[in-house]
Amino acid sequence: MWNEIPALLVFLPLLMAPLCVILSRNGRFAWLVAILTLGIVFGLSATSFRHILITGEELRYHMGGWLPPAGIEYRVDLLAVSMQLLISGAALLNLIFALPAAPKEIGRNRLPYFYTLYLLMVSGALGIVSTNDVFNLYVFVEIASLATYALIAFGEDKRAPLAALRYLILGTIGATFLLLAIGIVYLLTGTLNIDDMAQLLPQLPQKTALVAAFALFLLGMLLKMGAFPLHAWLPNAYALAPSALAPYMVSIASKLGLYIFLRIIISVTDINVIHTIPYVSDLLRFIAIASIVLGTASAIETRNIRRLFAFSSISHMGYMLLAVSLGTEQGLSAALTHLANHAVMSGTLFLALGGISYRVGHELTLENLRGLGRRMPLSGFACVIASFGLVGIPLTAGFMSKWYLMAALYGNQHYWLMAVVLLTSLFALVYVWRVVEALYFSTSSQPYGEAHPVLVLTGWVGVVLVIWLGCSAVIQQRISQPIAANAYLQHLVTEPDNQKTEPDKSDVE
Amino acid sequence: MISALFSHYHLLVCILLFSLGLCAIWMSHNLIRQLIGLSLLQGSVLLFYVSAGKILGGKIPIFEAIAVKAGQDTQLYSNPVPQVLMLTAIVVGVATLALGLSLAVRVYSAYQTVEEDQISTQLPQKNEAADVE
Repeated sequence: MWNEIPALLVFLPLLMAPLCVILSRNGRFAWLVAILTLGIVFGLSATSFRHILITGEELRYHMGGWLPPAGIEYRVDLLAVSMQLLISGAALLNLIFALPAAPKEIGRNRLPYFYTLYLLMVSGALGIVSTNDVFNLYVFVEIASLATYALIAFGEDKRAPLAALRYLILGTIGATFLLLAIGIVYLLTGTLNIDDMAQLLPQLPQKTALVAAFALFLLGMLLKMGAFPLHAWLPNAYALAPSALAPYMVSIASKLGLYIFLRIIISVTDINVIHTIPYVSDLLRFIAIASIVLGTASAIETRNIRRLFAFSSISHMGYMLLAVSLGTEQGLSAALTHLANHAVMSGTLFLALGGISYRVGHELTLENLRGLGRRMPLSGFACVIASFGLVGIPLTAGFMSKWYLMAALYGNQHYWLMAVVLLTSLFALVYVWRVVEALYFSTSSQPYGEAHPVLVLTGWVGVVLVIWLGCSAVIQQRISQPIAANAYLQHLVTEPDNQKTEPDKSDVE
Repeated sequence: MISALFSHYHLLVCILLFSLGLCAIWMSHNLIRQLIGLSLLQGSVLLFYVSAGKILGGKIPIFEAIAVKAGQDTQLYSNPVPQVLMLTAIVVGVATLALGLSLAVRVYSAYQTVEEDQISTQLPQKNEAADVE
């Protein structure tokens, strides 16, 4: 019974999506279909999460009964099921949020299309994390991305279609790089199944083509992550997306790129590929530091609130990449913890901002936020808690993940990287403080009252999560550490002779 | 080395098309031309897969009994899997192009142009929109 759940999670939203358009004239029915679907999806992923956490077994489903090397296999392990829970949770919360927010912004006659695309996007994202077949992975990447491009264009701003088109062009380049990498590996091994590939790759006589494939794959995924030199699509896409979509997008969209990267280096190549292929570790570290520094710097000089936090999410992607680039068990688990924590924090922040937007309008700048903290106490306070989380103030989720990141850096004696993380966190306080200052320490005569109760409620669900994750180390101890330990353990069992490729401590400078 | 290059000339064609596509996206400031470049980029990958699956002198991959009846050598056949994969990739490419073009129509109706230079002059705040470039 458990093994069917991964397939159900992907196909339920996929099948229900057309129903939103076919059966409904207005948005209300489409919303009901969507909430029912995502409610079931969330319930299923929560139960399978609990099941995997307790028993530790993997769920495998073979499409159409065809066995793996030939057929498409879905495989859900702890990493995948945690992502499923994160995705379906974010999607469900955002959908509840969309009930009051979407009609105001999108227009009633376009609502069924909005919810259809929304379900397709969630289905694609769940497919990415569930599948064990690389070509299937590419198809799901495109399903999720295409739906996202179209959804961004729903934004009421005149620049939204342009931002969506930019994202489409860059995102498709990224996906094409992924497809090319898959093609090369397929020609080398003759298989598309991830497990099969992992067995065949070490037996290859020469690995030059494999390095080329890895380079293409890395480039494509860095584009999808929005890491520094390839981040051009991200600020506008996040800032101009409709506020009924932004919370999900900010918390999940770029994380999927990181997830695919981690999934491939954990399951296909061995995890030490970061060290065995020359320059990968250094390149990742350079990109990570550049993303952190430039993301923070751009956030400081931006006056549009959504753009500001979009730049902040570039810098947080940098923290995750920095942790991954260490190539150690601690680093991997810190990256995974930060992935989950940042998804929760940024999602909460954009839920709160969406609540403010409900009264103020989509465009939020430091000027029109003035004094709103007292007019909208609940939304304003949710916004403050979430942005303090992004800085890493104690008792918020951000503190936990930065703590583990620092511990991982300390464990590898990367002292100057610790300094970079600390300094950029201080600078993050600068841009967050400007938002807090605008909200609470300036006077205004704006007549707005508190946002719609549903919007406030969803924002505060997020706040509770942020505080809870800040007070308990449950993600780190129960999820991230077991995944990271397992990733390195697998490698130990299969190839014990590669242990000499421990992180070279001299290449820090 | 040179002979290896010429014996794999189909890869050279793919690389050429791939680079042309990237150049078109990189250098052009016209959104339609960028979308053309994007199609070229995807097309080159289609060619890469399909040409790699072909074996010179290989027969069509059909079930043996039928092939024997047709008098074919069943030992050597072209790999059908890349073609099947590309069938999906073509659909993805068409969907991407359709969405891209419809977004370009939206952009055109908002700005009356698809030239990026002219669009950026119409954007409200110059500094905020700098990343559109």
